[in-house]
Amino acid sequence: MIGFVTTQEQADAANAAIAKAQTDRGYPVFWLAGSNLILSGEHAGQHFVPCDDAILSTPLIGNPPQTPQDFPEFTTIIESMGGLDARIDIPAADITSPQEP
Amino acid sequence: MNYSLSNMLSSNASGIDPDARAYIAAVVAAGGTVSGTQKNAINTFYETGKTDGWYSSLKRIYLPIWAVAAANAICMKSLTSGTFNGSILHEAKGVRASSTFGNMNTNTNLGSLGITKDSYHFALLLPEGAEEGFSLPFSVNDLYVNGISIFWNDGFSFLRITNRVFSGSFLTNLPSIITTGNDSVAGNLYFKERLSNGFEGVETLDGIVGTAFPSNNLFILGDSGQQASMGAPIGAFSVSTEFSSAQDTAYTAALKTLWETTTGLTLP
Repeated sequence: MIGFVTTQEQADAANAAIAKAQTDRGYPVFWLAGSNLILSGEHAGQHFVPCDDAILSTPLIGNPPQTPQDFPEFTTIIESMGGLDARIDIPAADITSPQEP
Repeated sequence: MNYSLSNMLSSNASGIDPDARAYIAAVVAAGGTVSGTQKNAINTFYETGKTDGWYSSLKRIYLPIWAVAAANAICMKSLTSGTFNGSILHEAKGVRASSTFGNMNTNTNLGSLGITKDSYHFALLLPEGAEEGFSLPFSVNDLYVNGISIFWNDGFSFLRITNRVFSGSFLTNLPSIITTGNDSVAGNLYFKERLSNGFEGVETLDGIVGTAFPSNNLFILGDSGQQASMGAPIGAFSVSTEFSSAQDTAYTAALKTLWETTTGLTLP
């Protein structure tokens, strides 16, 4: 799982900024990077904002489709979390909830 | 805010059902490319639904085959938008999570749509069958008791409609359209798997659902925490008020035709 390890506040701020980039253009909020609480491992208690290749290349809107990287706000959001080089790879198991049905 | 952009409707689209025309315009405005064949298939779906009587029962229906998130998030009935979260792949046959984490929030709950324990129907088109590892294709209140969820975990685990639980022992898990609903005339609840050859497996439970539906939002592809996400594609999803078992059969036939004609694929 490639992305940013950050605080809940920063994860919420990043997703709010992504939402605002859409509403500012008159769109509904049709896409968010999302975030997850890290439940175990080295970063337990912090939040994870996914930012892998699939996220970066998501076909968002338009023809040809624009990706997140085509939006200047997204670059600003990435920079606010330390830039792409600050991303780390954490085990999916660190995020997976042990919730049982 | 939705994509109901009447000023973007094509002037040469006369003869097309107005709701079909509005959906097509919304998809195009969001970046989807809709061919003449696809327009005809969409129009036929709307017209069939109105003729057969199930269209008015539909409350949310998604056909996420446009390979663009904004277009895939549009409901064919309301033109409102859902919200994809996380790492989602938008492919020709549908949407799926690229990793363990992702979902689509419909941004509504069943009560707001007039869907109750006494009048409900869910449909799920699975072009590659179920992902049997650990997946929750749709849910309300996640996996909790008194929620609504369909769950695979090392094979099919259960379909829960609050206090009523289907075993799904009849399921093949092959590519199919899976539906569940109540039939107040027959006095039962049903859970069906319709295969491409027309075979219908079915499980019924006598009686009604006893526990009211939760007020949480409805999620597709994974739970509300973006977990248990589907790694196999979802080609279509809908939620409606009651379809009788006979209406369910007619609806799934129309949905199959819609998906196959718009994707150019067949349910194998």
